[in-house]
Amino acid sequence: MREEIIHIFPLHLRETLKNLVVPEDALEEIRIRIGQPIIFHIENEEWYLKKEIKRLEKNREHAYCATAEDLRNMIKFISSYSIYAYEDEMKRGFLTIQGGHRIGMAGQVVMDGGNIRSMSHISFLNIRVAKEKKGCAKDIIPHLIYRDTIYNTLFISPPGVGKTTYLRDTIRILSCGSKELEGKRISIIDERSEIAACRQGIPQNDVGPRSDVLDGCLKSSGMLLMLRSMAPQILAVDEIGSREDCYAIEQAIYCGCRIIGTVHAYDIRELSQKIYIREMLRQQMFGRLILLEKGETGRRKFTVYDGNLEKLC
Amino acid sequence: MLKILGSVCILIAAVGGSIGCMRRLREQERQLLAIKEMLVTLENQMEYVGLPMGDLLRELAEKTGEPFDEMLMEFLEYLDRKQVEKLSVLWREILLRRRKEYVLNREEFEILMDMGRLLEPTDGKSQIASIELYKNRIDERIRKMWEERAGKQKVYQSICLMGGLVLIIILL
Repeated sequence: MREEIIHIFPLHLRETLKNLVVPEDALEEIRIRIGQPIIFHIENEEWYLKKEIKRLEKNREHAYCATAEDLRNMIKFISSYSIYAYEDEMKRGFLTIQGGHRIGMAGQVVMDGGNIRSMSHISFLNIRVAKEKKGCAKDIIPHLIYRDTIYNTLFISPPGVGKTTYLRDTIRILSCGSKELEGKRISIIDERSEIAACRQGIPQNDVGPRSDVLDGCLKSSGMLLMLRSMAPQILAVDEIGSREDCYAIEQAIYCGCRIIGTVHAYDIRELSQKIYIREMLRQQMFGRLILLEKGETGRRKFTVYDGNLEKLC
Repeated sequence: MLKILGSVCILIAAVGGSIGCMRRLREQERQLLAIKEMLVTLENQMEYVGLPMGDLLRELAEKTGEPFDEMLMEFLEYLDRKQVEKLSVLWREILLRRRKEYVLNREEFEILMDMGRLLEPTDGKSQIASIELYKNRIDERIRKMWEERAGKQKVYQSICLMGGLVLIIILL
C-alpha cells in the first residue's frame, strides 16, 4: 500500500497495513465506519482487514472494527493536525491528501440558515485511492484536433466509468503538447478538486506544464474568472449541466476559448434530454462528443461523435 | 598589597554576579516576549491564513529564534512523519527534556508546557479562543515581571555588593 495512505491510519494499524500485499492499481477504496469492519474495495470485491494475522480476507469474521479513537486519530493525520485549515473542505464533505487521494467524510452536520456550518463527530470515512491513468486518452487526442487547436469537446459516460480520468489525461497531453499540436494554455476549474486534486493549492495529479488550476470554485463563476485572469486557450471543467454552467461556457466560446468538459449520461439520447445541454447541442457548440463505456472485461472503450451527433468511429 | 588585590577581585566577582543576574532577567523577559509573539502569530495564522500546523510551526521556528527554534524543529520532525497521536504529550516531553535552555520560572514554564494543548486539533474557533486565554496568562506574567524588575535589579545589585563586602571583611 502507498505510504501516504498508510500514514493516515492510526499508529497501531500501520505495521499491519505495511505488510499487506495489495496490487498497486487494484485498490479502489477503503471504507471506515465506527464499530464496523474496515472494508477494502479491490477490483469490485470487498476484503476485510484481519489485524491478528496481518492480512486481508474476504471472510468478515474476526475482521478489525474501527473505533471512535481510531477515527479521531485519522482525522488528525488526514488534516495534518490542522482541522482549522481544512474546515471549508470538511464542510464540503471531502479532503484531498498528498498523492491526490480523496477522503470523503460523513458525521454530524451543524446547519446555519440552510447552509452547512460545520461537520463534527466524523464517524464515516471513504478513502478513494487516486489513480492517474497516464496515457489513457492518447488515442482520443487525434480526434479532437482541429487546425492548430481542438474542437469543443464533451466526455460523456455514466458514473464510475472514468470521465474525469480521461479529462485529466486529455488536459495533460494538450498542456504538454505533441508533434501534431503545440502545448496549450489550459485553465482548469476544479470545483470538487477531482481533476487536479489540489492540496493547499498544489496539484497532486499531473495536469501538464501549461495548466492553471482554480480549485474549489463554482464552475460558472470560475470559468469567467479564469477567462479574465489567465487568458486560457482551453477551459476544462468537470460535470457541467446547470444553466449557469452553460451560460459561462457560451461566454467562453464567444471569447474564442475552447472547452473540454464532462457530463453524466449513459448515451447520446440521454444527453439530448438534458435541457441546457440539448440547447448547446442544437447550436452545435461542441464539435466532438466522446462516449465512454465499460466493456465486459472492465476495459474502457470510446465512441466519437461530431457536432451533428453523427458517429465518427 | 595581596589583601587589596584579593578585595578587588572579590568586588569584581560581585559586580560580575550582579551583571549575570540582570542579564538573566533580560533573557527571561526576551523569552516571555517570544512566547507572546508565538501566540500572536499562531492566532493570526489560524484565523486569517489557515496555514497547516507543520508550515505554521516552521515559520514560528524561523521567526522566534533561540531557544525555541530547536525545540519547534524537533517537534516538527514527529509531526511530519505523522507519528504522534497526542500532540500535547509530545510537546511536554520535548520541553521537559530541554528545561535547562529556558530561564523561565516554574509558573512561566508551566504555561509554556500547557501551550501544547493549543496544538491539539479541534475546530478553528475553539483553538483561537484558547490562544486568547494563554495570551492573557503570558501578558499577566510580563506585566508582573516589569513591575518587579526595578526592585529585583536593586536587590541583585545590593546582595552581590554586600555579599562581596562581607566576604572581604571576613577574610580581612
